[in-house]
Amino acid sequence: MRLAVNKPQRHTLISLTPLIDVIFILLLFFMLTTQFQRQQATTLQTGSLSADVATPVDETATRLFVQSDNQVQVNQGDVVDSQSDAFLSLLVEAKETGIRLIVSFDDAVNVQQMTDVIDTVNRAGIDDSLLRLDL
Amino acid sequence: MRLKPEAKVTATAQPSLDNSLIPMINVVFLLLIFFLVAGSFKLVAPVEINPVLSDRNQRATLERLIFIDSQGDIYAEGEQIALDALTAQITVLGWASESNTDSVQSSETDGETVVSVQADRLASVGVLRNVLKELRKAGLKEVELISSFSSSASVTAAE
Repeated sequence: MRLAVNKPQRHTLISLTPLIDVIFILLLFFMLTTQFQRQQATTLQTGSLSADVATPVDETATRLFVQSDNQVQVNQGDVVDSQSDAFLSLLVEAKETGIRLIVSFDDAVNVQQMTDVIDTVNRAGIDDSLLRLDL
Repeated sequence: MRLKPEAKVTATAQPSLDNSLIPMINVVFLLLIFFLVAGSFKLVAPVEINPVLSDRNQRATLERLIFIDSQGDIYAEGEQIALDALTAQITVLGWASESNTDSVQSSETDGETVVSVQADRLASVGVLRNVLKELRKAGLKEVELISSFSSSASVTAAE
């Protein structure tokens, strides 16, 4: 009786070259289309506050109006610089007392200035529950 | 028994070409996995846009994008769109789902349709406001304003 074990085994050679080609193409694709810069998002409500009938206007809220020269008018009265300590202390006080902030912007304010003000407000510890952007 | 010099040479196993490529394939695989895991796809804007910088830490979804350049021109799906035509275009594109067009009591989106707006940092809030009004008409209650992460605050206050 002859055993199959004694049969000589044939090795099939698989060429690696096509595999390397595909991997290189994939690598090139990902290298060219990938970016490492993180994209962040700020959620904005559409429509102005007056048009939003679902959200009642809080009469006790502090209204801030940001102008294009970075000045912020508080409750249609005093004006403070948005990068000054006075503005920051106003925000901290609003946070401690739990007063809501309604922030609106002049049409001439650019988007970066708007984002800077929102960042400043967030950095003062005021989260989205106390902040309403009137756009 | 002593081998002849020729016999010594033939006895040494010759590394095949495939074997010598294996370390390179390993490295290429590692690079591939690195780019797959660590990267995200570039935003391809139809027009040059300087992204807004912010230190906010909320990840953007980047599924449906509207671009606003520094001149206030609006782009969606690679084409410039007039402000008056934006509502119709959003509806045509199917970005305003039925659940969003319904009158709702909650101001929060249900996570189904998120439209992202990438505005140039010098675009005016007036233009952004008009875009948001049109999106509101199309039934969208919230949008994402896209910004690039910057650990430093107040970048271009009054350029």
